[in-house]
Amino acid sequence: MTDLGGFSMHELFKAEVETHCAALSEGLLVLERDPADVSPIQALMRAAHSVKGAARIVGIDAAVAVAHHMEDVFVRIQKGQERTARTRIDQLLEGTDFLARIAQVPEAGIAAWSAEHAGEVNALTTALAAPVPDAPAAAPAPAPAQAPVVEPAPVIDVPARVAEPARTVDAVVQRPMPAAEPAASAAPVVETRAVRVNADNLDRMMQLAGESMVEGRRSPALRRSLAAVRSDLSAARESLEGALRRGDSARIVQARDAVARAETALSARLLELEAFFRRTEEVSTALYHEVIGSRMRPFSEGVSGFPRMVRDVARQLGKQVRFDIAGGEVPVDRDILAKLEAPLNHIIRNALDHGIEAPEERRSRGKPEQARVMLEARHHAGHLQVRVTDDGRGIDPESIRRKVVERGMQSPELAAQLGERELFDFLFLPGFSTASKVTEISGRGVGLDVVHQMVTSTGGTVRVESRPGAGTTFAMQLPVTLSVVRAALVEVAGEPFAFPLSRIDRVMRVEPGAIGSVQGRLQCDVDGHATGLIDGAALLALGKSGVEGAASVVVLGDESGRVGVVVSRFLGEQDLVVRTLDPRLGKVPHVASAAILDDGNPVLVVDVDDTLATLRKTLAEGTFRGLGQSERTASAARATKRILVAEDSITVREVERQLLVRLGYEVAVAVDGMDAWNQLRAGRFDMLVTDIDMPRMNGIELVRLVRADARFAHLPIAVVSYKDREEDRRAGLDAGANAYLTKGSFQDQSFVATITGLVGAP
Amino acid sequence: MSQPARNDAAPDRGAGALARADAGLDELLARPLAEADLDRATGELAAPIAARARRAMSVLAVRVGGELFAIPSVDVAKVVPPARVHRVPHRSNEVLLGIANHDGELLLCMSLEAALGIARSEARAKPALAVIGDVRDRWAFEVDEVVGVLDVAEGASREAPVTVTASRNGCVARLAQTESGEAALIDVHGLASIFRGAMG
Repeated sequence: MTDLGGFSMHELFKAEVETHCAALSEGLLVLERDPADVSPIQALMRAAHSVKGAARIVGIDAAVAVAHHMEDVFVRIQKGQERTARTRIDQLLEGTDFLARIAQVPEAGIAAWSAEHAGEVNALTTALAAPVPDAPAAAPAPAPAQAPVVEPAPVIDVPARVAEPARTVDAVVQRPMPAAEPAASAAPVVETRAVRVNADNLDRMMQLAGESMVEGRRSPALRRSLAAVRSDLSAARESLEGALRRGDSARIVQARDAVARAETALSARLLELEAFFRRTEEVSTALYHEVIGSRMRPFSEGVSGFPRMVRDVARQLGKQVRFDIAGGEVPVDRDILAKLEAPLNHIIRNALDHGIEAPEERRSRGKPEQARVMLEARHHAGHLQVRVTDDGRGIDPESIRRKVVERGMQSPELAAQLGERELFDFLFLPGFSTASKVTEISGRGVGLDVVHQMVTSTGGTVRVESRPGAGTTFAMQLPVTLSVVRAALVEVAGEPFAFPLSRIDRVMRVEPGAIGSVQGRLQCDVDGHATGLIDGAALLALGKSGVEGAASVVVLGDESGRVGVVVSRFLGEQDLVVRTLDPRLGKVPHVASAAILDDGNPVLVVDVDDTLATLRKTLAEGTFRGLGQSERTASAARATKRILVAEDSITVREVERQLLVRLGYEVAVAVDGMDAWNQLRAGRFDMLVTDIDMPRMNGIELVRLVRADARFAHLPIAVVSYKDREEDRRAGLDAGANAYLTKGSFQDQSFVATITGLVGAP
Repeated sequence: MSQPARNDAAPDRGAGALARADAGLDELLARPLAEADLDRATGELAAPIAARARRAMSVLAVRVGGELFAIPSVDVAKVVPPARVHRVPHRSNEVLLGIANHDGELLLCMSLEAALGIARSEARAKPALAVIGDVRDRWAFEVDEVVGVLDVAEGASREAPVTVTASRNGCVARLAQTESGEAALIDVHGLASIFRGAMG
């Protein structure tokens, strides 16, 4: 299964250095905050020493030298020969960074890299070897280029104790690529990747695996003892038959006793068998939970670099910041943890750079000079919530509104109608920054679009809350794990399907009398709102079930719009270990993944987002009835050109649709790239009009995918986006779009002219 | 003094025995080859490679729709008991039946009958699920009955008549003579490409 032989020594070195550098940074920050506290020294010495040893094994002399000199410093501090000075901490952190950097260099490039950085190694080792000027701990550091202010010491909250690096081991797992790719690629790509597993967890798994083997070996003995009972019984029967024939009553009594003994033996075996089954079930259940648990890592593991980052950035900006992490022990799926790091990094940097005011400004506003940035993680309602809160200047929604109009992204009338939440969403557009200056720390708001993209890729959401003057909160809601979901099981057209519990509003039984029909559409009442019903079998293209008698309904959606899916019956609730669908199937409409039920049969997990998107769209288009079939009815008499509009904002989508319908085109709409791709393949279209920023699959990906398919080589494509930078335009055209328009183009004739130019008259 | 002398003598005796054995071995190896052995070895080396590799091909013989089919054993991953197949929305069709679980692996279940264009038996005698292909590109399909793993001698196969080739969607190019009768030899690559084509 595992192939540690596949690991080069260099990769092991890299993993080791990562662990030790985290310990070094953490320990150094504790030392910096309280130079008198030498408790972290032991751990620091060990870390530097381990790096030195590891570097020696792989023959990276530069790393050996730096680690060695760092270790010497720690020894001097421990022996009291040196006091911890601020400049020394800086040097040591620099050394830590150097080690982290060199570990990232590919094995083949080490020699060249070392030669190139020889000067740096020299400077570092010389500095570390030289006695530090006997300065007070708060001596000013070398002034950074950007902030020539005298720096106050930032206070960073880190755990007071330097934790031993968690005992982890590296294992290699085979992992098929997620099934997001369409069927175009025939052979699924299998990549090998390394993951960290908590060693205790692995130990327990091995114990349990051993235990299950031992249990398994008990079964032959059980079988033998049962066979012995059976032969005792047949012997008893034979002697009973003989005794009966002869009418030998003494023998009959003997035979009866033998049967009674066999019965007793059988009862004993039965008890053993029961114990055996119970034990087997316990072991396999425990093993299952350990295996699932091996995916979880504590939140703190993914964010251990942030205290250091906050310290450095705050110093550079001349700001005083107290940084706290809450919920470090919260278990998080390793894949989600890995995906979280980049977005959190962006958000925290943004908070430090744009959110937090300079100390003087804070003072003048009556705030404490020391600002606070808080990173929190917790589990709530089946989700992982991660919040980054600062008490800085906040974001004024009105300034966003002005900017939207200034940039011609919306007409003043439409902009005036945008709510606070919609306005804050503009922050996630690339290039849309409220900061007037470009800085090295966080650029021009670059990154918030990355945040949005990363979070949505895990099926999560991110939103901004802010009060001008009081601060800003970025709240992310993410799935706790990508691998286990609690699901409601239902039957549709004779097949089991699962709806993730966290994604459904409720399940309900609707009596026949409570189902109404409006223009042929079925609907029922949910909390006083008429809610459209759709036949699950039709939705999943598994035939028609029809609603007879009381209907079992799974209600999806929220206040902004609910839809009921009628299913044959409810089967119950179960935790499912989800797995990606076979990539050869491509993206299956309305299905997110597969799993295996308790009875060993497969079940498909419904993609609620996809389903909602389809249902809302069909409701809006009025093609609710017959879902899936009705779309093609018009095609026989098809003369008008058909355009597919892909756009996630309902406002813009409606504007585009109306403009095109008014021109005489037939228009279908898709709510994101994935939806558009599915529709394109299913129907016939003469043109595609798409947005760039959309959940699940963005416009660029969509255009690439469309162009890669021979059937759509000549399909005219126009991109319509808020993004108006030259590089965005180029990216769109490079992907294969024929035209690139901005959303401001609705106001003039360029949108209409471009569409008619590309596809011809309706 | 006698003690060391005895000690010295022992290795001497051993060395002498070894030397005698070596000499015997040399003698044995240096012995001229028997003419018959030489002829046989020469004949073996001189024979054309194809004739030397002349070995039976191993096939998995299965019955489907009343016909006997043979699948080269090298292309068969495993044969497992049939499992319940779950249809895949918007994807399942007459060739792609759905997915089934076997030992935690979700297999894509196909219809061999539909892929080959033959009629499905009303009831399968001893249904089994045959799994073909390598680990990254596996396909499973149900058969009426597994006849067994049989040998097909090299000369015991012939080109299938055009009518057969055409009616089997190009998946049967040869007919193989087995102990259970003449079987249509399935070209697994051709079959896999029909399966892939059914993915939608």
